[in-house]
Amino acid sequence: MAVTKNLKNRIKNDTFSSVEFEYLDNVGSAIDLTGAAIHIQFRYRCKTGEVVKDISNGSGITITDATSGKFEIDKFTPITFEVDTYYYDIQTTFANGDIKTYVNGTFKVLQDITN
Amino acid sequence: MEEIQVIVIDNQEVVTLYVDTNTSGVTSVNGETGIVVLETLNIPENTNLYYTEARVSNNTDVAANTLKTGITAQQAADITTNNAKVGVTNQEENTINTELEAGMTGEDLVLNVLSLTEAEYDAGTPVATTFYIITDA
Repeated sequence: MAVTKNLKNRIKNDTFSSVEFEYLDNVGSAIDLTGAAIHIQFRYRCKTGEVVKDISNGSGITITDATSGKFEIDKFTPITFEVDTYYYDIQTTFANGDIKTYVNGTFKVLQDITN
Repeated sequence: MEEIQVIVIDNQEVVTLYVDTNTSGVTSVNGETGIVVLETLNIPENTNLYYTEARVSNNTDVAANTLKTGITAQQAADITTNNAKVGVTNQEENTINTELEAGMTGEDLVLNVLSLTEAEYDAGTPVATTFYIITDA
């Protein structure tokens, strides 16, 4: 069962700042991401909307410390998405083949003013 | 419960999420997620109220001991009729008994019967409801 973490709003044409994640087990020990594949899609307006960004580790996602369970969505510039709400979740395929989606949520892209 | 924590750092905001990885069932309890231990402070009363000594003591039936639990039926009946007349003075008891036995028009109530000498009687102030027996007359 995933939990919802809505990301902070982003302003169109700004840099999408990185978002760091850390997976720990129920006693606070890191979940080993060695050999894991992490996949995230951003979808327009709804969970089944158009995919506006598709990233995975090595291409938009960096596993920063696998044994510590840490990874991040890499920052990217600029945010070219239409002003609206976007949906995402994080699908992790562990080395043993287990596929888990722990987190989902939304974020909004706000209209910028200065071009 | 299978559970993990996910720490998210987004634009300086650090959030720790607790993910119940069960695919069904409860994801939070009383607004709490993760390993939740609830106590009565966490659960507001609705129609079912928590027990307190004060509430029990204030209960009308308890205060009146309506059911008179823990005593025999005879004892309960005695309490109801106050046969022993507990809580009243002897004089009040006499009054009660006299009242119970009363019924004749014009009768006077005698609450006490005393014997004394005439001198003792003369030295005191007679009480209207006391019957005096003068022993040396």
